[in-house]
Amino acid sequence: MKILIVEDERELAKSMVQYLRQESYVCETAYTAQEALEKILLHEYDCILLDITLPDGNGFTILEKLKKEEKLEGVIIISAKNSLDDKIKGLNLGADDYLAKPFHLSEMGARISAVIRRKRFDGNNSISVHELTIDLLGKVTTVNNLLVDLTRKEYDLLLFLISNKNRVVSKNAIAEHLSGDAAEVFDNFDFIYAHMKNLKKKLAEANCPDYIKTVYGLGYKFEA
Amino acid sequence: MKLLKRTVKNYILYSALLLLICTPLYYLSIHRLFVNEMEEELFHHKNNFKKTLDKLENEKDIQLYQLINEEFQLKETSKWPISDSLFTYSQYDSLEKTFVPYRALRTGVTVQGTRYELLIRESIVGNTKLVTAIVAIQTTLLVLMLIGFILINRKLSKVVWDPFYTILEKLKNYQIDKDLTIDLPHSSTAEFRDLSEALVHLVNKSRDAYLSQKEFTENASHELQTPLAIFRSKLELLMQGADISSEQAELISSLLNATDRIVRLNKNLLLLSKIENRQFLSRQEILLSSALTQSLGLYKQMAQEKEIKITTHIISEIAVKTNPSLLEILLSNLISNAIRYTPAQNEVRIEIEKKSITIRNPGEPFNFPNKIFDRFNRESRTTQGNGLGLAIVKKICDTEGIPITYHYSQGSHLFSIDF
Repeated sequence: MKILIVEDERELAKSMVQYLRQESYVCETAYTAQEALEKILLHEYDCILLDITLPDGNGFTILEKLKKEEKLEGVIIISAKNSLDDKIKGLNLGADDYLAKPFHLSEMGARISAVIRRKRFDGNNSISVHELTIDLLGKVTTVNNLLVDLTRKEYDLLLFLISNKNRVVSKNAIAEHLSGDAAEVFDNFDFIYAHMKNLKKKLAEANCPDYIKTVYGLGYKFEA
Repeated sequence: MKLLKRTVKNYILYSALLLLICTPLYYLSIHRLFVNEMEEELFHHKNNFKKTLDKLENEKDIQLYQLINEEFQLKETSKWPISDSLFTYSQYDSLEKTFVPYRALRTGVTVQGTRYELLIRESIVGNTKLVTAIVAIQTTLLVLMLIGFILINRKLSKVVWDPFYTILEKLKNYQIDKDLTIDLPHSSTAEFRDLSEALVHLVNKSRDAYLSQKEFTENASHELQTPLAIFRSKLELLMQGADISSEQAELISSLLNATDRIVRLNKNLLLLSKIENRQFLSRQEILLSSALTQSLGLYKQMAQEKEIKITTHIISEIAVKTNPSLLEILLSNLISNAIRYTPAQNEVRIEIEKKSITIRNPGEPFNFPNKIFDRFNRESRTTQGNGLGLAIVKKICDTEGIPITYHYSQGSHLFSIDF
């Protein structure tokens, strides 16, 4: 799957590419609006990560161009501004999602996989890893076609880990993904351990192999 | 004391003092002048009399002369010589039925070989009356002048100082975070015109400084987002390494946690300056209870994890007209604050009644209850909070003009907002 990263901060673009390459993504980068426009016209992408503030132009103009060319691939806007107006403007122009800097790479991974899934949606919107299947529409998890009764948080957690398959996901990223700003209330990540424990237990009871590995002190990794 | 009163008071004091000192002085000097004049007159009379002496030939002539000139008295005397002496005395006047003061000159004369004592006198009644009249007129004049001065000064001061009071009033009402410019009156008085100009200059400069400082916070926070994103992304990549020792893992984990704190701090600083810069303008009529339910939704899970029960009591529904984002931030911050400071297995009680919302939660009293709304106050240093939550709450209340109060009573923290 092809992804275009439009980001003028080379170091950040490099990190994004490096993280995504570990999955089966093919990444290209554009550091300027001009470069981005050229690439967009020449190639087809499954997903475009678009920084709004570029040295030679506004990301919104690229978005408008994409709309005109009817090439609205799954676009995720990246912005350092985190302003509601930008978000609404971007989404109204046809962007699929909005990611505020500074984001976790794993959060970016989850958003990209969601956008791509939505685009590739063909009546069967589900993710499968061997015997484990997640039906995204019904939000139902099954192992060998047997239902696993997960809570909302456990489901979100599993989906987040699978979206970042084979990469270590930090507790910090999980906490923010699950609770957003509310995670601030806690002095530690104990609440994640509790959810994780329950999730692993339920999967084990359904005879699902233990795909979720604990990476000591750092977080978790869905290995398959 | 008002400036006007103060100046007038000094003038009055000075004038009164002047009156008190000058009136007797004036009286005395006028009196002295008159007496001097009179004495000269007396000597003049004496000289005239001496010139006529040759024409007085006998006793009879002398008596006749005395009869015609009442003020002359001649008496034969044995005392000789008699030197000139001046003195004042009173004599009963049977006509006026009062004692009449006289100024008199005593001297000796020789008429046809006989020695006489000559007494020339002059009544000083008329003179005294004149002096008194002059002094009275003078005093009246002074008093009238004083009264007139006070009245004119009062009237004039009101007119002249009017621009000053207008300037003062405008300055009192000026708010640097709300008003764009200050409009001061243009007085025709040079001093007030200068004052106006200087103040307008000062206010504009202060406002520019204030604005650039506000902008600086916002720009700095914005600019920090990208390096923070790079830093965080590199840490996450570092984490992917295959053989990370537990020591290294601990280091990375600490760095991730610190990054989280910086990110949150920066986010809140940015939010604070956005509120200050009035970037939340749109207003809507919102049902307070539904806004509360929405905010509670975000924290329900958190409360459950901490075994804290949140109960809401909606006694009467109210709709508030405000910015929806600000209202959500306001409520969320108060709720998260309540959850943070409530010991496990306790209850946070939220009440909506009449025009206010009250959030009550048990907990240890704060060490610095007066400073809870300050940025980075010490209370929050002990916990994970970044010390900006309640500062944001206060800032929202201030910009939206809704009063918030905090109390601690019977082991509970109580925040109350009146819409």
